[in-house]
Amino acid sequence: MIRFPKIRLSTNTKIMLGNYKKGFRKVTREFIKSKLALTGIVILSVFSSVAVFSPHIVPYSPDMIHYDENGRVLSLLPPTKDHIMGTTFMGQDVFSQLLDGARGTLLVAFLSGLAILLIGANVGLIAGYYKGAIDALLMRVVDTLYGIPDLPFILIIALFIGPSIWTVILVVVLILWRTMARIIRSQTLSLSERPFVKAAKASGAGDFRIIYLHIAPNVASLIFAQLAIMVGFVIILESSASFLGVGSADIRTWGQMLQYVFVTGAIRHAWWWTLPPGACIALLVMSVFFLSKGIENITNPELERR
Amino acid sequence: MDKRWGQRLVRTSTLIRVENLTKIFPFKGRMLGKKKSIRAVDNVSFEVRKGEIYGLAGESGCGKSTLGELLVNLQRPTSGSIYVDGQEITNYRGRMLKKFRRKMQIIFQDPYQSLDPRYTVLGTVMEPLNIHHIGSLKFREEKAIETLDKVGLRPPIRYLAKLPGDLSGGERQRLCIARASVLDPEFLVADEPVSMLDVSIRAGILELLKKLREKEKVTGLFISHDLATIGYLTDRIAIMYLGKIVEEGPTVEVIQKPFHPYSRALISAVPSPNPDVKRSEVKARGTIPDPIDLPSGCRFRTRCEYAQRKCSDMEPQLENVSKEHRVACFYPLSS
Amino acid sequence: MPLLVFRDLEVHYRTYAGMLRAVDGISLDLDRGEILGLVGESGCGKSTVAKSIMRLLPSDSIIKGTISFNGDNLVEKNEHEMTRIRGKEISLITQSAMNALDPVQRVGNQIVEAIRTHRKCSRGEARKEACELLELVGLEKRRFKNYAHELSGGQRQRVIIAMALVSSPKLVIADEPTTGLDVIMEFRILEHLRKLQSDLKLSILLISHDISITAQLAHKIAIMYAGKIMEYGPVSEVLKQKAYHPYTLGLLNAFPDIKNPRNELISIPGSPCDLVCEIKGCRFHERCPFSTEECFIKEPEWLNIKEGHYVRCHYPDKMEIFQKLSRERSTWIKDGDSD
Repeated sequence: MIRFPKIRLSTNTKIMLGNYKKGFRKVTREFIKSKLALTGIVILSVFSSVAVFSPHIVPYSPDMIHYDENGRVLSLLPPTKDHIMGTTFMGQDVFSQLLDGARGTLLVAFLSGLAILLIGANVGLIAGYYKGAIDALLMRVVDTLYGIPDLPFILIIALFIGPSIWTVILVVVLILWRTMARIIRSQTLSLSERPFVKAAKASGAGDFRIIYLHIAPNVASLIFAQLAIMVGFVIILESSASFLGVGSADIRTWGQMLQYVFVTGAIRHAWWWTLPPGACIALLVMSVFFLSKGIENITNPELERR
Repeated sequence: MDKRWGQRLVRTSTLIRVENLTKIFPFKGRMLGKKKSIRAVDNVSFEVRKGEIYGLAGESGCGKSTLGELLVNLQRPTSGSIYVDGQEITNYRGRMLKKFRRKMQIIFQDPYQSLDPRYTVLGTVMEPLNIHHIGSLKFREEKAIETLDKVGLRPPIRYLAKLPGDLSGGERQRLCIARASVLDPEFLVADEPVSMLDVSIRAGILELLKKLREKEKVTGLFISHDLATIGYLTDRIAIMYLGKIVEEGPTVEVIQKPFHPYSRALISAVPSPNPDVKRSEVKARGTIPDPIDLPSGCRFRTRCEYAQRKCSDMEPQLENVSKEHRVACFYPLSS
Repeated sequence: MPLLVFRDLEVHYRTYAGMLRAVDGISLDLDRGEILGLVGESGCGKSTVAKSIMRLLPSDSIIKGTISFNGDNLVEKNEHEMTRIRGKEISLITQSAMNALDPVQRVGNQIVEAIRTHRKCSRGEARKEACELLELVGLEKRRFKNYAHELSGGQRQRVIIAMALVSSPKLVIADEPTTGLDVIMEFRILEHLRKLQSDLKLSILLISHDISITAQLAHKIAIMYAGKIMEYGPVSEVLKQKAYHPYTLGLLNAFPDIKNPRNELISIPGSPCDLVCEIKGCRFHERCPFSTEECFIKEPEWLNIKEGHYVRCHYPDKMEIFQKLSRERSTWIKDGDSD
């Protein structure tokens, strides 16, 4: 049995926790009321659980090739009792592949999202707070990156360092952090002019405290609403890249599944192989957009409290 | 008559001494080929004595808010010096600056915008203590609660968990005052602290500031465009116009017998709640000139009906007309 | 016959928290050629009164009672009829009206446009009239060709006043016309309004939170609190410590007077009451130092105590004691309260 040491919480911490609990309860209530946010989060949770538990729930190993009684490969089988989504060209179970593909797709989404958050938000906060030379420099960087078109860039980078899931993550982050940075920067610019920042300075607060303890919490809702949208784009980009063959070659993703369908020429008639990954991509992106809209709706009225 | 300001009669009771303080804002863009700038605060010198409430009056754009921020080091002066208790603080940076911040605090006009909407009342008041690592956690909490009680948010326990959005305007301003006084400062700058509050609660805040002066020995600088409020609260007053102090003296004396034409115009324009008081003509032609394009010599001459040739040739300096009363005018009004 | 008469006017807003009684039964008169000052603090409902005269209330509001203008009840008029009255017979000047000027049109042309909206005349005639109006409000004729950003706040406000006078209205509603302006500018605008009023025999409803400017300009004053009028009478009576209502007395204590700067200022403890909840008794009873059991249970009636002087209080006869006691701090601030 692990015994935690008794931590004496300060009154303020207790109050903050109490406020967070209240806030959390309120947000959850709003979430449940907002059908949009609810749908989004439900779908996301389903996909996430699938991704996490997929090795345990797949009916077959995704790479396993299936044969019939005569030893022939069960290639391109439409849905049957044994294979509810049919088989691929190589005789692998589509459903198992789908569940496995969830891992790759969600891994890209999660990691990219994290990186975009860390890099984009910080650059935005720093540029917006310090203004002047630092802002000018950082924004030049952002502006140059803005000129680069997404997909061709992935193609070119993949040519140099080889297609892999990490290439995709790298490129996607490189492209998308700029939008996050811009948005956070503009919000920071306006917030840093508010008297409460001046008041914190007058109390002796250093820049770090002001940026991360005062400004960041007040842009947090914006950050997360924006992040959700970015993740949507990430998923689409990854799927497109994989479809074109410059994406993930090692880890299976839904986009990669679509690439195989296309390459084997089965795309015209093997609907059981095309539809599931395509639908899942669309559903995932949709759920993320719903979630972001839901967050926006919930946090906005709170900001208007006067 | 003591005319020379240069004769430094350093009174031991002086807390703040400002010498030739100037703040120039560069004006983006050019006007008629010359690079113009805005002299928000222009060569201002004055003293604030320990335990007094000194008023800075003037209309919008006269530089009073900028001067207030310069005094608490929220802005760096372009030139000039500020002495606090004899020490020059103008060049303080880093750790020295942080230590000095404990002595000088400021409260602003808009109580709601001056508070982080996500910080609780307790969090807001405790933050300065946390920043300066004062005492233990328990000590900080107790000090914060004690300060809340001092500013009139009673009983403090009821307020601890509230957010700024839950408070009324008067309560928010009291919270700002609590935050400013939790470090036991010696000097408090109040920049239009009651302009955005309802009139019936202004008096409460003004009384609180008076109480801080009496009980806690806090010296105050009260900045406002409302001369009636300044007249009530302050001991001495300085009237500013376009970045310069044009008159300075004991409050009641300046209000009842102003020597500078602008002071007289300003004071005569203030309405009184007594309907029997019929206001005479306000003797100030036209409007405030563009701060980028200041008139030569005395800045008020374009609107002054007593302006003479000398007024456009030279700028008048502050000279004593009595022991405590100074005016910057070549032809000060006689009683 | 008075020009503008309010009788039992009620304006309610539907909010998620309940029915908000912004204006809860007010009755006032404004005679021709008179300036009536409506004074109250934030949230008391005075802006709603202005909007209700012009019928510019949001769609989810309910209006009851009578607003009689020149004998017609404005409450019963439909939108079509109101558009003929708005801007023509009744003009409105609001607080940040100066920001309502079109930034890309010269101000003179905006006045011209306003003129030609109201009657048929040539551009030349309208221009001449616009220049006359500019002079009337104390601006030089050359200001005609200025853009809004070239003018100061006070000058823009005067352009707005000129535009409000274009149609020679019978009634001008000025809602916080000088808030935010410097004091010298404010003085000029008030002087102009006063001159205009006496030259053109205008009737003005002056709405403000500032008793001082009301004292300087208005003939009659009405003190509003939490949706109701607490006192109404001539300025010479109400504002010289001869008021009857404790709220008026409290307000008078709270305004500094530049003529007597060291007069003690006393604030009224507490804060304005919630307009949503149903209150049985007097709206002011919680903050009133003289309130009794009766004030808590029963709402005071609108009493006519003197010619032209009305008050809403249970104890108008105790006026002298109230006036004397209200000048002492201890009446308002009990020890231990936040002062």
